Amino acid sequence: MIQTLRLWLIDRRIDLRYGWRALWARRNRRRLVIAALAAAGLWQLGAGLALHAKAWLAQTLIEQAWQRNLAEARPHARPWAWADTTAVARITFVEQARSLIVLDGDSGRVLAFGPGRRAGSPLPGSAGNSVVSGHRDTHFRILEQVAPGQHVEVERLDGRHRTYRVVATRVVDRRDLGVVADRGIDELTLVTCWPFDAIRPGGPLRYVVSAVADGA
Amino acid sequence: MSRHAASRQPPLADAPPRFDWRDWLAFVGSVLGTALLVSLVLAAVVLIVSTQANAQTQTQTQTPAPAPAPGDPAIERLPGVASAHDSDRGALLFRTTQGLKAAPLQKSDMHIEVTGPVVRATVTQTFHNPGRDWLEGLYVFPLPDDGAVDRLRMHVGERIVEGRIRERDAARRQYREAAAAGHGASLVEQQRPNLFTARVANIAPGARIAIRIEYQQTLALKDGVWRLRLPTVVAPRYDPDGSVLGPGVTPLLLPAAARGAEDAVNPVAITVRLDAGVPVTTPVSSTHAIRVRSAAPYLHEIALAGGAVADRDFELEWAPKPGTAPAAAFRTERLDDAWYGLLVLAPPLDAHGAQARLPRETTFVIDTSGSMAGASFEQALRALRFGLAQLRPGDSFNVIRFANSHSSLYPAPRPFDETSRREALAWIERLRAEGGTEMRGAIEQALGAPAAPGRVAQVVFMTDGAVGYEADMLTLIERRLGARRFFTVGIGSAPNGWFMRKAAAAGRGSYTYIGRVEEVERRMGELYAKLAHPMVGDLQLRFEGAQPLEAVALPGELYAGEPVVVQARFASAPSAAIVSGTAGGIRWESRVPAAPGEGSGLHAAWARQRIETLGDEIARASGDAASIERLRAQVRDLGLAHHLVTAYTSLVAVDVTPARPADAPLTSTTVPTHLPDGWELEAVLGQGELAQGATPAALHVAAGLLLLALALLPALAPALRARLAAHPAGGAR
Repeated sequence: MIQTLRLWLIDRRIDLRYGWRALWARRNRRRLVIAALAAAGLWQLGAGLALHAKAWLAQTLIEQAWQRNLAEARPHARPWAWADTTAVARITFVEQARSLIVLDGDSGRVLAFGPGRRAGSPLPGSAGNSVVSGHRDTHFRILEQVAPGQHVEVERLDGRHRTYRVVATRVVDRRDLGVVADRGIDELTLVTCWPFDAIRPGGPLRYVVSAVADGA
Repeated sequence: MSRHAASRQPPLADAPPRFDWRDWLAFVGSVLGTALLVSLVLAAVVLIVSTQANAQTQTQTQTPAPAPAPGDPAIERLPGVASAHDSDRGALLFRTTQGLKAAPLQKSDMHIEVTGPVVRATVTQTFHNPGRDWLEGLYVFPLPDDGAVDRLRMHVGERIVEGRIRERDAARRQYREAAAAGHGASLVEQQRPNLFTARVANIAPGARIAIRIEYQQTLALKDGVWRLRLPTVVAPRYDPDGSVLGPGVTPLLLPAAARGAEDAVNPVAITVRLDAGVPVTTPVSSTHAIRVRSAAPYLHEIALAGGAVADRDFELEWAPKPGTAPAAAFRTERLDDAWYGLLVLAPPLDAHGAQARLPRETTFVIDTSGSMAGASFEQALRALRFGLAQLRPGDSFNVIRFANSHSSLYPAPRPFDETSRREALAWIERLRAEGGTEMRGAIEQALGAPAAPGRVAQVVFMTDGAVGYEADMLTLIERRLGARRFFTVGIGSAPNGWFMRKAAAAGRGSYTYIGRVEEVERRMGELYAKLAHPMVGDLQLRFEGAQPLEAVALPGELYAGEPVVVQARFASAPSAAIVSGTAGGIRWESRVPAAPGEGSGLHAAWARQRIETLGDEIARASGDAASIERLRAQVRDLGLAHHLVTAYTSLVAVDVTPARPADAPLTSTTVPTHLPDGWELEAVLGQGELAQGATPAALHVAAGLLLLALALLPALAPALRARLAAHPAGGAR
């Protein structure tokens, strides 16, 4: 195998040693450094932007899955063939005029594509405390602008709408499970990382927006 | 290289400035390679920096834990162990509301004396205070689920204080008063039948206090072997709202870093003296490396080879030598004006072959919660595959998994054939262990619809039983069982043995324990052998010479290989016990003459068993406050009379010599415990956190921009240098 490759190179009069030497020739050295740094930079930049692109593109596919789920009033359509989640509700931040589809589950895999319902908590719009988490730098960036007194509208799988009024925003430790407890009223609890502008992900603090259903 | 390359012209030494597309190819290749290398290094740097930053943030974070009440540290609220080490002492530090405190260290020495069927264990727990404050230590520890704790001694310096049994509240009050007054004091309480807490107050700075606990249990020949199991660590239990277990029960976990042997916080030493009474095989342990010294075929001394950390159960196993059949023993002992008897009997095993196999309907239930992640899950999956392989055409089956919620392979049991077998294997392949342990729904489904007639209906339940709501589940199994049999398979290095045993008893099945992946086939084989053999039914028991004072509960039927263990109390000395039963249509009877003994503590074994029976009655009498109160009083009286720790009685020891000066404060801390071997910390604690709400996108973008800026520098360097050369003064500034 290696012998074949070597003969092939010799056949075409390519000497790899020559290539390396030319590369390390003084006049090329700077180019090499620039190219290496630029490549690494573009790679990092690309990885970062890809996350945003993924988050943004996925919403289109998720939107279609939501329309299918809505038509049949049950959560079954996969946004894409290998997805391990489905769309379960649409939440609209009324004052900000921005709407998002909520997925099922709040693992990292799910949250990359959209806000997700915490496993075990009720569906948004149903009785109890429904907990929805999202990434502070993509979908739930908007939570920064949400203030008490504003409204969040939830469209359920059965097509019915329910309006929630934001009652409080606060910062808690990630181990503080008090925010997901069922207090016997119909609530929507939106959770994201805090502080919003931290560079590093995975900090210990969470920003929590609590909204109570109208008429609850 | 090769001679072809060598003959190439021009020579390499003075590379000509010819630079065509082939060189560019090599150039691009090198660039990509270098880029890969640089990004790898960068990724490593980012990782290190972020880990350190993370550790810092965590130390600074104020957790919303309330101040622990004096004398009653709400340990489940303590925010966790800081992994920082006190530089000069190597002590573990605890974060309390008053700042970092040194935690008491604890080590356990277990010495076990096995005399025939009676196991007497002495557990010495030594608490060491490495800090400068007076400390109160709290340690959560397990004991065998049928162990009867009857003695507590506290060693403070040269003094030995004997513990006394008191009603739980009175004991606690006495302990608190002593702790407040500055006396050395210790308190042993039962939180669950197999879960205890030890508190030790007023450990002087730099000093040690040892408490010595003794307990007793009964051992019987099962499946042809004796198995001694000593739990050493309490697995964190899933307790959804924290209300069932109450404060002080879920142990505080050590960070994984503290697992190393040098800074082990709960080292453990185990020695066993085995006097089997009959010739036995050399004992072996599947869990620990041991050294065995045999003085005689029936006398062995066992010690751990090397040190061990309290992070898994200890198991020791020995069997009768072939040819010697120690089928039965009936020991009696007199205490005050009553005689106590312990009868252990293995019904004949080889008198009958396997019976004709009836079609089965098997429902497998598998725990896929976070506590199972890691080695446990491997074992569970392997046991499940083994179970599937035992099915035959004509059987039907289903598989149910549960974690936070449950789901099943099929809505209802389906005939076993090649298609369903493939479907099941593919379904199992996709199972992952994460989330909580909500087993109710799964049990309800498994025991839901009545089984098809003409089939032997079984539920095989595979879990570590790490839950705090055991009692509810036992009632549920008992109520819904119908004609089914409920078999429990305990998985992992520290399963909740009490729950597994009681669930199997409630479900008229048996309990199998699997500790390691290598054991799966053997232990599951034992379980299926039980199913293949006819059961021992129509069991009857008579005594000669005296009749038992309380009705003796015998199991209606026994699986092949299961022993009969009976504790009874008599008004006068019994002379023999006669057990009879039917197996495979053959009637057998065996008469066991009484062997009177002294001081072997059979009364404790009897009281322990009686307390368990009363406990079952309490669980069944849900809602009937009057009868529950009556039963509780009975348990309490038994505990006081036989000097046993029960749910309503505790052992308390107080050293009357004043120790702590009145002006020195007492700090309460908890001794952290290890996570059972093979458990994954993230999988356990992950269920108790809010989801992470950020992506590393910003990090990537920042790194990318930084690198691009760096790339720009050398690109602009010639221009800069030219500018500097033109204005040297400007460059100096």
